[in-house]
Amino acid sequence: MKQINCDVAVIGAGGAGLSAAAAAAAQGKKVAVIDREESCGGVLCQCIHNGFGLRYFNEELTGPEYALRMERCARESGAEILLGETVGAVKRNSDSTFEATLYSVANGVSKLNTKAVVFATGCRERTRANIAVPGDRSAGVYTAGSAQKLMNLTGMLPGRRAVIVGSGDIGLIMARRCRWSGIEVAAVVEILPEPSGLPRNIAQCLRDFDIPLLLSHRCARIIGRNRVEAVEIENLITKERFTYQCDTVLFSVGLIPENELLKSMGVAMNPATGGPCVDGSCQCALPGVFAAGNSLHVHDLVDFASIEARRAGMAAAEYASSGKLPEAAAVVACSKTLKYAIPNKCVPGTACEFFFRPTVSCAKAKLTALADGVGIAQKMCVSVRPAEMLAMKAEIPANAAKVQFHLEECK
Amino acid sequence: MKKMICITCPTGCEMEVLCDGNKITVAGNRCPRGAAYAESEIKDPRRTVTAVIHSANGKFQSVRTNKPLPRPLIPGLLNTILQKVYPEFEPGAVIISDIEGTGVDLIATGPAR
Repeated sequence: MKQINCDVAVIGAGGAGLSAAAAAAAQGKKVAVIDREESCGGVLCQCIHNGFGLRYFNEELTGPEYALRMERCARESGAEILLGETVGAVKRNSDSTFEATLYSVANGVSKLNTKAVVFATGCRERTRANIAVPGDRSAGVYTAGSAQKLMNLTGMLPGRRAVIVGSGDIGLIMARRCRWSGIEVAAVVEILPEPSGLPRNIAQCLRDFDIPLLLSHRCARIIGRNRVEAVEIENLITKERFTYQCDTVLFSVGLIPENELLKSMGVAMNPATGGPCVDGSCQCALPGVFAAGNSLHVHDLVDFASIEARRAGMAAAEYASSGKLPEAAAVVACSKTLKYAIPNKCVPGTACEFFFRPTVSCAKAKLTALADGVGIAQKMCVSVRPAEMLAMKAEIPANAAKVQFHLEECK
Repeated sequence: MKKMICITCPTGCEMEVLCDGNKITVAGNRCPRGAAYAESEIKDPRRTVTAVIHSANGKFQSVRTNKPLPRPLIPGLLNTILQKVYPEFEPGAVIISDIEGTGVDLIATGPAR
């Protein structure tokens, strides 16, 4: 059996994993990145559209280009990338190191021993089943991402006329992708009164093509004995129902962080994010275990996932050296106007960057940080929407026990 | 007055654009790129085009224009490239240079796979 030893193991070679690996390897650590696919990049490989990298690389790139850049960063820093290897289990040894079991066609079963492990396992798409759409079980029903994979990696078209359910960014991008590939798009159907995707994607993916966006509408039924023939749409305000003829339905109805491996290790999870509870260095409740990217919480932009992962990689390298990180003694909490604040804990006496997902929509809001009731930072946020993450940096006072965040609408 | 959303970056500024003869006044943009986008959108709307082309050996390769292409030229470009089989290109290599005399190139963005 093949035996691999390293200081930091990174699970997942996507936009977060490669960034974590580059950061850890730059600290002189022996780093192994493991991915089950045969190439690096994760979902970036199928995201052939532009819009990536403006924050991380200061340049607008497509997904494959971003992936290549990030792969180069990781390799040049000295990280080793193991492709075609699936991680089946990770367990903590009695000496606080970790053992991962890898499976691959090329090497069979391998064992990997590491001092620290970074989980950058990304997320999965919610499906028709997750939102319980009734009707026929016809062919032609896809998640937006699986249709994207089909079109962009295997060159196949999912159908000829599509209805897209959900106005998340993947759905919007797929609307344009369909149109540029000769597939008609009858409509994009959104259950909420406002779109879930970025405004730029509403503009360049829907308005450019005059694709109707039906807000406060839901997909009530899928019709079609063998192949999809139509969908029944319900206007949630008037309760009126009508059908659209189509042979394809794409669901873009949200993402679920993929954490089966982490959960099997008994790590404390955060129900608000679907990811683990972490401190400011992205360390989970189990020392030496880190998480970053979309498996920690769903990001709007890969750039943010990579920036977060860089922090996780650096902290994992430090943990691999010293076996210990400063105690994150300050607990983080947030008001009801915020769905969550990440991290859940932070180290008093340090600067920490926080990410938030608002629950409210408003033109202008004030985000305030209090340490034990005393204001430590504030920021004005414009066009606040649940679809857009908020970020804020704060200096945590040396003796802080609780950091509380408030988001208040400004009239 | 025309309302538009800037597509230059993920911020997506909502802008109000006023055209008075040749003079274009832009409000709501948070950076100079917004004003430049608004002006281009009025005079000569352009988009970056991304697609997947057929490569030799049954493979596929992702491509993009290196700069935004005038919108009226997009269907013609797609029509041309989606009906051909191309050799494999290194990522970054120019596949078509100077599309229709615009100075815009089509480049490979990823490996053929």
